Amino acid sequence: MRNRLYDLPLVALMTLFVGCGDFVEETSTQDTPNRLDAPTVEEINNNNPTLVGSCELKDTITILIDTKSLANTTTCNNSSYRITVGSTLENGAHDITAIATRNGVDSIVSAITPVFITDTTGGIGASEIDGTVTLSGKITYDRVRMNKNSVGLDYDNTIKEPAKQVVVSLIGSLGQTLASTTTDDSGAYRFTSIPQETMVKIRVDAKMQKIGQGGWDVQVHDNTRGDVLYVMEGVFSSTRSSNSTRNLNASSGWSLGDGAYTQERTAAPFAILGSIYQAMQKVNSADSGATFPALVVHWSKSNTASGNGTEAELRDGLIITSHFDGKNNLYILGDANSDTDEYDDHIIIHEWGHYFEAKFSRVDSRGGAHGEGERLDIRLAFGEGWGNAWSAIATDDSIYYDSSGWKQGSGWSMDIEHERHNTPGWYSEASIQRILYDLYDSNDDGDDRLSLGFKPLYDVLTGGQKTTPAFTSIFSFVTELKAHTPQNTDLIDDILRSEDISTIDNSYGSTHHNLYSDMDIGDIGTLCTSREYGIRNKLNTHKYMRFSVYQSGNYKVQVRQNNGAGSDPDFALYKTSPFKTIGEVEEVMKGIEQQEYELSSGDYLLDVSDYNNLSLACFDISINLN
Amino acid sequence: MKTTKLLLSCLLMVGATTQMSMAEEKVAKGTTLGFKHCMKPGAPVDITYTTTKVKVDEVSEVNIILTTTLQSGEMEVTINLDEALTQIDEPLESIKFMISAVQKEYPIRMKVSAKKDGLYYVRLLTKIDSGNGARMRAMAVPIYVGDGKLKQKSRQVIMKAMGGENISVSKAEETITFIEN
Repeated sequence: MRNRLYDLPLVALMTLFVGCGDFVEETSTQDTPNRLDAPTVEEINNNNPTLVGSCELKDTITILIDTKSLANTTTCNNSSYRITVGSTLENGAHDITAIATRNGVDSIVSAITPVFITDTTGGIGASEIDGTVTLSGKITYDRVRMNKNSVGLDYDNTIKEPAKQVVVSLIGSLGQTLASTTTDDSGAYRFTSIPQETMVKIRVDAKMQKIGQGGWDVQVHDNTRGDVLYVMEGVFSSTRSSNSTRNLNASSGWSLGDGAYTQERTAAPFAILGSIYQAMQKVNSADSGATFPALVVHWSKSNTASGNGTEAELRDGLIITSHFDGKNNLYILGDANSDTDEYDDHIIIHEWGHYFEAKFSRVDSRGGAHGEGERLDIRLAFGEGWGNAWSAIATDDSIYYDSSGWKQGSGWSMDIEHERHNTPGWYSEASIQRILYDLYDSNDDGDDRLSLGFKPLYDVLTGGQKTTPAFTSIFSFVTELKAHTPQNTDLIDDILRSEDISTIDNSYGSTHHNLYSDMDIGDIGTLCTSREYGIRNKLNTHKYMRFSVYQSGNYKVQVRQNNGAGSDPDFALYKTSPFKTIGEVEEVMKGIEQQEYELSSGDYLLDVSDYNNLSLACFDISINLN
Repeated sequence: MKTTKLLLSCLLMVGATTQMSMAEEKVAKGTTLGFKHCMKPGAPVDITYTTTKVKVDEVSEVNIILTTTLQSGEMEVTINLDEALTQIDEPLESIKFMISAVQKEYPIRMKVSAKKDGLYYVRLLTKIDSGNGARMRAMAVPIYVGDGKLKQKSRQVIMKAMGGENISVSKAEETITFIEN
């Protein structure tokens, strides 16, 4: 048979390239399957293996476990199959085979894959099954502690910490995964019913994975080498005929003698996971059923504080600084003798706090550089204040530090709770971090006589703060917290007062500052931005307009400067219930910005800013139904 | 981000007069201004830089502008170069700026070269003390020489696991103990 289009003989499976990167797979025209790989174990969860292998397109794949056919089948797709057994296999050895069937008639049988199923329970000692042994051990990593003065890393003070909840696999001599499990909170793992006199090695993934409700999936990848997953491995060694322990440690790679990293920094990904697990544990203390969306941490020793954060730059390690990308990725610095963050647990947890805010609560912050003592846009102030406070809450350690410099020997630190007040207020990230930490901690001092713990804060962050019709700020948070714990209103106000913030009684802060204005459809609204406190993301660089749409339709939103020339207005439009971004406009246009939107009835917020950062730029806002 | 504006400002900084596309090829530029993701805390200072992409032994012009919203205090900048880089003009190791309400931009200019292709860095560590304890922020300016590619020395082996996932393998420190039954 010949293909009419290409006039080429068809083989069982043919891949034709069409243009750049596109390809199509042609279905075999032969009647009998002739290619089927033996199953490979991709993973085993609770004695339930997932199997993968190559096959021919659209063949039906059935799995045999010890000659017993599984009820579930799958169809070959993209020249491969993947099937989860779907039932719990008993511990011990099993023979697994795949069968490919075409047209319900013709079939072939793959080679047999021997699989050894184990679990993490059971005692160590004599073999439970004749001819098998137990292999167990502990996974640790080097954690370099901070100097006593909280400035710089102290490599003399390196401790071995357990690698908690990481994936451990038993690898056979052909590279196949014989069994997988996860460590417990002491770093311990155990494989039982392993055949004697077999060459195996232990592989530890920089991955914490717990499937399903209440689970998590956190992995550490090298963004500068194709985003590969970091793993560490032991050596191939025989299981012999008795039980054994294999303890693996990830080294920091630091040589005390040389005063430098002379080996691979194997510990770094595991130290990052350790900090993130600590943060997740704190969330679980408030909500034991919390499910954490997948997160990939990108760390590399080539990650520098450079670039603009473009995708190409991220692949080269130019990540600007350690940051959360607003989606499912953390980027962490690893640039020795400049800035490494893998052992700066408060920074890892601060950035993870932004992930938490995005996934469990709501982030309205526009991001960007920020610092203590600055008057910030209220959304940024809350987001960064939360991140700082969260790092202290999750660790129950109020000393935040950031190591940097030559040999990681310098850096800075701050006391989240007791930092001297510098420009306190609702626009200060430092004030907000102190407020949030004082609400949480059990240490009553001064105006702080409230010890709520984390649960009420979690409830507000995942409740009222997530659905507030205002932008997320200390105004919305405190308003929702007072609604959540009305009996504590006075005590909350006392803490606010210690930061020079008067009573907060609404989510918009309308008694504190004129951040929000109101207008009606068809009217002209006005607002002004200024660079009085800095540019881009500082207080007053963004102003907000509230309006309501009563009739669904196509609306033209226009922002036009009304006090001279030189501005370049930008805006972002949000619907408030449920809160979502409608659109952002950042055209390079002098004095005017406009866009049309299909708007449904409801309440909206318009965030207006001036890209040119005029000292004072005032704008007429019009919103008209077309 | 309004890339067109950023590019224009960079062009002005280096005084380039060539067409924009040519400048894009020959000038590396970067800034923390306008970065929209959540960043870790530190000294309230932003960086904007341009560097000329050069061949081996050619001189790269490095133009750095630091900006801060602070109106007083002192900013100390420690500068380190990759070993492969040679500073052509007078070596700079540390610079101090007195921050004032009038001055918004603090420039640093350098000339460097390298004898091998690669992606190198001029590293800055800024430290600002505005009277409430020091804050620091590390920054790095890329210097693209020749192919401009990142050269990594690594003992980690990249391989494909049987499950299909690409992995970077490091050797663990391992102790194996057999337990007598």
